Amino acid sequence: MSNFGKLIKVNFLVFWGTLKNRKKTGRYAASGTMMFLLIAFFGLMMAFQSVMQTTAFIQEGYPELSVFQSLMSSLTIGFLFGLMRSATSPASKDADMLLSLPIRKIVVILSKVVTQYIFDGPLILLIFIPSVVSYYAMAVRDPGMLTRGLILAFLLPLLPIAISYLLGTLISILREKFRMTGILTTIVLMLIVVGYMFINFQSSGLLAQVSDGGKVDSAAIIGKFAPLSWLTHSVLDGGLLPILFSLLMILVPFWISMLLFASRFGRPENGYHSTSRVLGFEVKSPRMSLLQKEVRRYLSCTIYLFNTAFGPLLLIIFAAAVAIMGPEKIVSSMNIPVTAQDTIPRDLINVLLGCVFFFFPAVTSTSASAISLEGKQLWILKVHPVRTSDIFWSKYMLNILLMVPVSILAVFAVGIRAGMPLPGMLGLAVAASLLGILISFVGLIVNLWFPRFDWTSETSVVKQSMSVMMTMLVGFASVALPIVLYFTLLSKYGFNGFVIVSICVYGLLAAVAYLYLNTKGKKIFEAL
Amino acid sequence: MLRIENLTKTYPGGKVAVRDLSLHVMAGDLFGFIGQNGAGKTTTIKSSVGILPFESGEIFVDGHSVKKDPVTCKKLIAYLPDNPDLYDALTGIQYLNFIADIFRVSGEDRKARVGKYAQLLEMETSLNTPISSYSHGMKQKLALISAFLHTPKLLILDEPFVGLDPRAAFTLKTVMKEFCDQGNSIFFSTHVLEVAEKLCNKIAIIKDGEMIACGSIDEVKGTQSLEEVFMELTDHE
Repeated sequence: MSNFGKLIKVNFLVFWGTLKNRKKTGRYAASGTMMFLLIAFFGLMMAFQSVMQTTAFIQEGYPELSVFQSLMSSLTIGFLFGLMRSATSPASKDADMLLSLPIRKIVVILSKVVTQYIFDGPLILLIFIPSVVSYYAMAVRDPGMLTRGLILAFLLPLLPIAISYLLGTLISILREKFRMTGILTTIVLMLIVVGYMFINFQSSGLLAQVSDGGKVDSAAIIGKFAPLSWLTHSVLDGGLLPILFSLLMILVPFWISMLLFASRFGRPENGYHSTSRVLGFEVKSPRMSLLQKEVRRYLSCTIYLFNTAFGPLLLIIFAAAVAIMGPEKIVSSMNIPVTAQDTIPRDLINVLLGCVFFFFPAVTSTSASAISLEGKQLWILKVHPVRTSDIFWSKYMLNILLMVPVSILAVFAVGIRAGMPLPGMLGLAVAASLLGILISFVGLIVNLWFPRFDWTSETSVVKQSMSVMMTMLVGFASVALPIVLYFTLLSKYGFNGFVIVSICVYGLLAAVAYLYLNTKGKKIFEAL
Repeated sequence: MLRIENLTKTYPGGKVAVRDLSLHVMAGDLFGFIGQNGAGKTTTIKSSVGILPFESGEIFVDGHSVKKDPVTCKKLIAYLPDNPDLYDALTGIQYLNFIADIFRVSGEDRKARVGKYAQLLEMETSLNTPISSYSHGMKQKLALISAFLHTPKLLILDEPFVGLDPRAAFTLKTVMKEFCDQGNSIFFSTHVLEVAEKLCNKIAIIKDGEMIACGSIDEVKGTQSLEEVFMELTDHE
């Protein structure tokens, strides 16, 4: 076997070994299997959706939009992969060891890139290839188009790789120059994502028009954003210029990113260095000191900040949207079927707004990975005279501070604009706060059940861990519970009924979670 | 100061790391704990500082049980692991302030102690820099400064000389002697037998989780060098 083959093999052995090491108990075996099944299910769903979408576009008379739409979805997934990976350092932990072996550096670099392609590529291929094949089978029987589509499909995963290395290099340069790069990096990444969401939202709006049976100018939709247009036309028409632009758009950034990656591979990443001799000695209580440590860790870790600040950020965007556009327009965009009425009842609008308030705190939780993020530094908390309850407090308080004030402000901003009754508005603020508190407790409990300290990158804890996924599932269930109760049993009591049932459900669950955390939870932590 | 009685620690999977181990570190002792890799030194140390739970036996720090009263024990101890993973997100001084807050050390005291030990270990110019940029030795030095912040009665150190430059190693040896001369105790593991022989007044040798020799340095080594005794005792047949 060639050196390249051996390196690819060892990358997989390392990945497999990490999985096997985690399978110390049946619980981890189950979690590993569940994660694999979830990813496989997600991939197959995307493929199925691509086929269905192509069929729908062909029926509406716009087959070419199916390729455009699947390209957009592929790029979205690829873009998110790229951003996710860029937030972690591009330097590999095994760089020193690999560079000391008698293997050419280019082979080592290629093995790293190919491994990333093998991990990230399949999902993009699963989205794009079915739509190209469906388009070929159902609309245009042109083998040339099929060939171009398949070639593009295999080139597309190079884009997220390029994004991850380019942004990753930029971030590591920032780390060397500035002290608190976590926040700066996160703001930049969030602006990129919000910008991308805006472009995607605009195109999706036009595509929604098609699915609603409206007449659209498909050429205008495809031509709206030049890069997407080049990619689409390179598949559909095979014109020389679109093909050339598409190749340049993918290969040039990829090539530059490879050069950057190769130049920084193995180079020690020197963090920001201060020579100031002025030392600050601020005295705080152990609890406040623990909380400050959590906040500093939070602000310094881009992937942690990026992943969990989205809940409050989207809530702020939602509140601003309602304040500007009005609640009726927002609620009507949710496509709620209203029978025998021209307008949506005020109570229903308020309930739906309440559901949105509950949704955002439920989907992001800092506490779901707070224990795991201690990693190899867990010994510090274990050997020092700190009460476990204080450790828990500092960890759930971070999530509460992040979510609850934003929820309360958003409820009042939207409530006043929507003309909610004051008691209802106050009640909704209490319910949203209680949910934020509940999710903070639940995240910590689930993380105690599924801790993971053997990580080498925070990404694997913050984005891909069982505890984060489980907390998200519990979050969805928590949002659904009062809604189901309201619509099945209490709808006759109107908005006030919804608020009261939400307060009761979240208050009760938060109390139970708090008790569990401070009894069984303490024992679990002490045994870690 | 530290009394370990019949300690047995078994890891999940059934591997017995330490079996029926007993030792007694008295006030003023500089107690060296030596053994081969995997002999059970780190397990004993981690059990003593409250990181690892253990099935049978008891560990007392100044008369307080580590099992029953862990927080009181931890207030009396300072621990330095063999590979100190510290909070990378913090600067050196932020980490020291964090530890000082945990032990409720006053502003005046922490300023004086940080100043003293940072100067001794030549760390003054690095304390405002994030720990993520520290070398292994610098992390070791920072962990050492933090260990002296609350004036512990017992220092438990796991391979404290690994990663230290010669000047820092010399300083550490001096500080360790001074610390014990003041009536405090140190229990530390090491692979450097020369250091143990010159520095310690008591020695324990552990092999495959069992104590094979324990006592004053003269009792253990007799007329031979510590290295010769160690090689004889740990020789595999």
